[in-house]
Amino acid sequence: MKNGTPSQTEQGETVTTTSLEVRDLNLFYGSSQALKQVSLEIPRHEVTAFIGPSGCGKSTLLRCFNRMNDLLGYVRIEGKILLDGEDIYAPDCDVIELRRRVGMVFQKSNPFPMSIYENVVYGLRIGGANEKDVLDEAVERSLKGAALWEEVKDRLKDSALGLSGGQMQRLCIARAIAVNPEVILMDEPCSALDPIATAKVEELILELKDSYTVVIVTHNMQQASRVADRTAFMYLGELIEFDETEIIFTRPANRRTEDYVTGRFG
Amino acid sequence: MNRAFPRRKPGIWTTGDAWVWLSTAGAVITVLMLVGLVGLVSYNGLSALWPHQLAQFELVDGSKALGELKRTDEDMHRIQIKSGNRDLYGIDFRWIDDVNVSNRSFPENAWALERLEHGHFYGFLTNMNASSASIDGDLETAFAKALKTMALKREELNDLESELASINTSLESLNLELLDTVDKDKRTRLEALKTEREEAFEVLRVKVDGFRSELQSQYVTMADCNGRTKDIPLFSILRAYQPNSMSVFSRTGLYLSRMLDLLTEPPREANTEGGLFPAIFGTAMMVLLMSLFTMPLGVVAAVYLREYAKEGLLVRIIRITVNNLAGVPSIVYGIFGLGFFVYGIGGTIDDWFFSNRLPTPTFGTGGLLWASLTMALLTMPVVIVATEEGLSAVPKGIREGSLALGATKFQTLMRVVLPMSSPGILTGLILSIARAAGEVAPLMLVGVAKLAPKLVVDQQFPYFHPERKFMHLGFHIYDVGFQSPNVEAAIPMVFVTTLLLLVMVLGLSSIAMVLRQRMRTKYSGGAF
Amino acid sequence: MVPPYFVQESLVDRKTRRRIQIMDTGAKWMITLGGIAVIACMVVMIILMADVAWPLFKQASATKEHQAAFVAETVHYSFDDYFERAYFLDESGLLTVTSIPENEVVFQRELRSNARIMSAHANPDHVITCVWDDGTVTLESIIFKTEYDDQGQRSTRSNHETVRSFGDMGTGEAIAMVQDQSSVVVQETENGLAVHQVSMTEDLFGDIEETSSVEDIGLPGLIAFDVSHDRSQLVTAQTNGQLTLWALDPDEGVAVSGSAQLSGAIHDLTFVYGDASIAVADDHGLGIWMPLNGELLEIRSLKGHTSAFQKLIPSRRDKSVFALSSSGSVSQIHATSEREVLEIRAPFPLSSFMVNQQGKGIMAVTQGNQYWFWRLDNPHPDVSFKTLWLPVWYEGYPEPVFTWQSSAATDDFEPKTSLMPLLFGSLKGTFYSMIFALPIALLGAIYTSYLMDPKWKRWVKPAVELMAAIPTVVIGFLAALWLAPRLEDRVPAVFMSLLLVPIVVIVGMTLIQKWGKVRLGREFYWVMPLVALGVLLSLGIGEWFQQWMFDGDFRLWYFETFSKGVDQRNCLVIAFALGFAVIPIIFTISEDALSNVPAHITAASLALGATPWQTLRRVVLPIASPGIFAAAMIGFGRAVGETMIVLMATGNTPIMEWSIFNGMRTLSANIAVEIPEAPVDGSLYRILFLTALLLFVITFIVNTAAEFVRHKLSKKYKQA
Repeated sequence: MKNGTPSQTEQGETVTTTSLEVRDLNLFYGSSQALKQVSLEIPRHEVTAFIGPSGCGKSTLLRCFNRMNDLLGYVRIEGKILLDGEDIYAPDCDVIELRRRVGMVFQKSNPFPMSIYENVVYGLRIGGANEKDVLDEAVERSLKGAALWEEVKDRLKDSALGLSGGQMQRLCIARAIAVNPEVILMDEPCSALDPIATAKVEELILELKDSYTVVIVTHNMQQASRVADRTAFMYLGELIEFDETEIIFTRPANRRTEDYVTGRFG
Repeated sequence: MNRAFPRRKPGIWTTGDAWVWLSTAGAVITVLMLVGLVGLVSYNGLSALWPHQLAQFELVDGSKALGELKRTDEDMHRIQIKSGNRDLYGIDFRWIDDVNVSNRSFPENAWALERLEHGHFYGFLTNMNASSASIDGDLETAFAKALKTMALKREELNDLESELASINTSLESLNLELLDTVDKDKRTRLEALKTEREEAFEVLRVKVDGFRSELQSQYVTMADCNGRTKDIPLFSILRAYQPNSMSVFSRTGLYLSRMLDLLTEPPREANTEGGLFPAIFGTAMMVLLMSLFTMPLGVVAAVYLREYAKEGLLVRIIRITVNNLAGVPSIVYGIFGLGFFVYGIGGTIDDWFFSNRLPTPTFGTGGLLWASLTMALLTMPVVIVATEEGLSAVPKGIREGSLALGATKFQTLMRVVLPMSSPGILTGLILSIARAAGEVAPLMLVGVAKLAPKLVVDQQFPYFHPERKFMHLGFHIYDVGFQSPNVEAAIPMVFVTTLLLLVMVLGLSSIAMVLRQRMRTKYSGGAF
Repeated sequence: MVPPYFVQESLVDRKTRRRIQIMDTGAKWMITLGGIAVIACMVVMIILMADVAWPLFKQASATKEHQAAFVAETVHYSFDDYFERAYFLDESGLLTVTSIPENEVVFQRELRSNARIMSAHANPDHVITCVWDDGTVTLESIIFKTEYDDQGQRSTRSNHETVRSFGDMGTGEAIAMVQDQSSVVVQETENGLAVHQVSMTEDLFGDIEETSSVEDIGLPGLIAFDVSHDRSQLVTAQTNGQLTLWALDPDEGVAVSGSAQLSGAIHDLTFVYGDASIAVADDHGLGIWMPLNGELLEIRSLKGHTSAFQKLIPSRRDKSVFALSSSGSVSQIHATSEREVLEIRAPFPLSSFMVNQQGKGIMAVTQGNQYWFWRLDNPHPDVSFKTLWLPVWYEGYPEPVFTWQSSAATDDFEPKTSLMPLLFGSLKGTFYSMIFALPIALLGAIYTSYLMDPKWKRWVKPAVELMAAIPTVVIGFLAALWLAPRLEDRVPAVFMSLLLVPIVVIVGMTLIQKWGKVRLGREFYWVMPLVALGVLLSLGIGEWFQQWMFDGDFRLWYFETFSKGVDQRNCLVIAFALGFAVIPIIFTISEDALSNVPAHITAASLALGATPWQTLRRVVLPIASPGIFAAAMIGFGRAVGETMIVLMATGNTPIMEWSIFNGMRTLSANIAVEIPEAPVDGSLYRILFLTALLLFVITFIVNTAAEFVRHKLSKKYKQA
């Protein structure tokens, strides 16, 4: 179900509304350039995957969407990233607000050393919500949304560190969706999980796209082909190709993409 | 827009902004305190040796005052000057109320004399009586010339005196030998030798005395600003200059030469004047001797803990113990050193080997050896911890690589692990040296002296005397700043000493930190 | 099948291989041995210090050295300090000196012919007050001359001298004390005491003026009396339990200077060495009495001894009193420590005893004129748990106090060695310095670890580590000679700055933020001038406040209001200086703890839209809190043990006063101050070792706890 409003582009094609738009993005770590002239549009309520060999800049690009790169301190950015048409790198942009709208799930599951319940409501609490019924409702909704409710509903007060790896990662997803973001960024969410847990998370991703725009970075091309509607192939900081997943994996326009997806390098 | 909650504009305490600022203030205050301390010490230490101008005050009552400006007291409207001339006035400093001053000038021809005793003299040259330099032309040049000649003669006298001293020490050891000798023949031989030396001593002494009185007969007549004259023997004048007519260059020259003296000369006047050489030397020797103990032992202990001991409860307890020993107050080490090394081991050594000198203790009193051993104990945890860190930074794979080639554990240790962890070991050593150089409390119990008449190394057999007391920069600060009769006059000297110590300790620590940082980045992976 | 290259000769020949093997094994043993030795050596520290301190609490012991028989009944006997000569005085006035182990007579003299001794009293220094049946009182001195020959062999020569003789006296028991020409003789009469006083004073012209007086005091039922060594006091006890102290003066006569009524029967009494207090044996035990404002007060006591004490002899070296109990045992009781140091029992009850000059030997009579000699090993009778840790009512004090005063000019001084003022001083200094250091160090660490621009953090962190390396002697010197005189005039400004600096920072930053966003991590560009401004403002307003509130001089005002002075070297200075020393330690350790919180956890929080401060407060601080706690503990340990700073910047007065305007003396500084004066193996020396041990234990416990907490923390987050 796609509830974005269709709009006409100049070419006359019909596409879903853009959620995130990257324009001529250049990113520098000190003096070395990590992203070169990247431009792409990420459609709303779809799953977009970034693939590419290690160090190609796909995680860096992902972290630009909620400005996590700011934390490194030595990052310089040129170009624009628009979230719903607003430049998130504009001086008046509230980073805190941005991060509430753009959630993130990390490569390594990183629950806080608190109870499961507190983990989920963390984002709400820091936003100032303290009413118990609001929080309870959010916990149930989020955990259900992350397909974890049945497994943990009886031990919400237990420490989150006692969960299994897959459960922890789904808890992190629940935590991310608890604040009702527009976009969820996932940075190789399954790389530390076993195949069964991976399958569950992938299943979850497919469900999530009904309500959220999902951007996922993955090493695993099968995963990209399984969950993504669109796939971007990046190489050495450049966006080589960005298209429907099916096209990228079956008839890519660029030779390097083809070499990569067919496993000739990477 | 997809907002979960309406966001009200929160206050600075809710967002934490206020806390952020307060924590910023915490960091800022910490840094300011450090910068302030270093700045304060640097400023006072560096300016203490600078030849300041001499200001002459004409007072309302018609008298005058001449001296270096020390500070102005805004509240009380008065100025403190260092008027020197302790032999004339009895005190070095005096306060002058602003209301009493009718005129202030900087007379070009005012002299400042650095003297062997009674501190500085500030005044004017009136006459001179010097046999060697006839007064032709103007007095000032003749004075300068006479001073130069005197400096050479003083050297000569020093040489003679040290010769005298060496005869004296050989006499002392002869006496000790005589005490031990029972054999008659040997005794007569020794006694003959003793008389011979005593005669030589007497001859030389007469010569030295004559020379000294000859030197002391030459004097210069100085007048203070009120015209009171004082005959000052040329012999006691170490340096003379006219601060008000000096150029910046000659000031700098004087400054540098004072700094050189500071590093090479012994102290004078109850340590409040003169140089710091014995203290620097003593500190260095103590640290050196300490390193000889602490290095091998600390490294062996660390190697044992990290490479040989089986990980387990015992090793964990030992490691925590070692860590904790680093936090044990230094005075505790001091009192331990006193009870164990000085009275325990030292007393026993005296009983066994030096009983003929008892009750005057030889090793049974504080000395360099005991101080070094105490400090070695005190800094051992530092070396152990740093070495362990160095050892653990060597990746396991490298060790396994060496073992897989058939090397024994010891070979791996000597050829691979220790060389690779040498930055860690070096860090530990430097940190321990820095700690030992700055630590005073334990030394006060185990061998530091206010004024050590003899260095621990000299020409007297066996050339190195670890049983002797020694001087130490840190103790010098405490002693001069708190135990000297004239604290106010001593403070510039204390600041100089402090600066020297601070430069030494902070320099060493910086080197250690750079080394450690290099070591850490070398072996550790990336972050985040 | 084995491939051919496997059977190839090893590159290393057998001999070399063996050599390498042996070296390896050897090295292993050497290193193990060396490592354990080094570590053991450090652990041995505790044991050695405890070993020095331990004899303080050891029960004293007495060893029986000799036994000798003497035929005649004696009126007095005693012996010398070397256990070489004993002397006996019998009723006929025959003085016999014997050598101790051999029991041979080496000297004999008849003191007077045709007179018998009625009673004898032992004065100090082997002087005996003898009362003869013809009404003469003499002072007889037995002299032991110790000589050393060429070989260093000691020999003792004995002699006797009659110091003074007083005629026309009674025949009751008497105590005579003389010095130069002055004398006091107190003699028992039928209904009390007769006090004969003679004093010689030289007037301006060199003429000697003699004042003499005889006074009778009626004391019905007199049991015991004693005259002080300086002849100025007399103490008496009566059967009705009345204890009276009299002041003796040749001019003024005898006057009551204090009295008390005891409930039980008094058996004996004596002045304690120093004459400032009186030991009284009664039915309940032994009490130490002291005159205070015209009253006699029992300041200390030893109760509950199995049998009552009958006879008391004071030690001439310390405040000990030796007592013979009704069951025939001899006890040594120390008056200050209220400790029964030892009790000597013989197979038969002892009927009388004597103590030698040094208080190191006891000679006692048992059945059949057998004299037993004991050598005492009682090096530290003056120390007990009570003297170290509880309030003690010292001689001359109006009430029990904690006080430290280890030595004075006179020998008969009562050492006061309470550790409480020192422990108090240590804790007080630590407390104030932690109040100053903790907030600054923790806030600073928080800012540096999480909020500061990494570009700057790279410099700030090592700078603070360098700060930790600054020798404390430097800090102490600056605090005492630079800071203290400057702080002295600006006390209100200091307190003002505690309030003003944070206010200025917050208000200033709020204003600055009104017209521009301050970049995260760069706040300190603005805060630095604001802090400076805050300090300047406090100085200005403080001065104004001082003028307005305290008439321009806070110290004077404080003194007038609370009648307590403001020391120049006070706790404000200490708080600052000790804080300076502790801040870098707390800062560095807590910064490490904060920085070690895994980045992925903080990233998660930030990605959820938490502000850095929220992340810090809700995620980082809880995780790092054990580390921060450890940092505070280690800082505490460092502050408690710091020596040079407190030695230089406190006045080193051992007072117990919480006021921040007073100094104190800490355990550590006390060691530095006292050890040069402490004779090796004396009580003070051992007490100082005890304090060192105490410091060791305190810091060791604190550090171990901190280490434990930190260890747990690092383990917990390794897995997460």
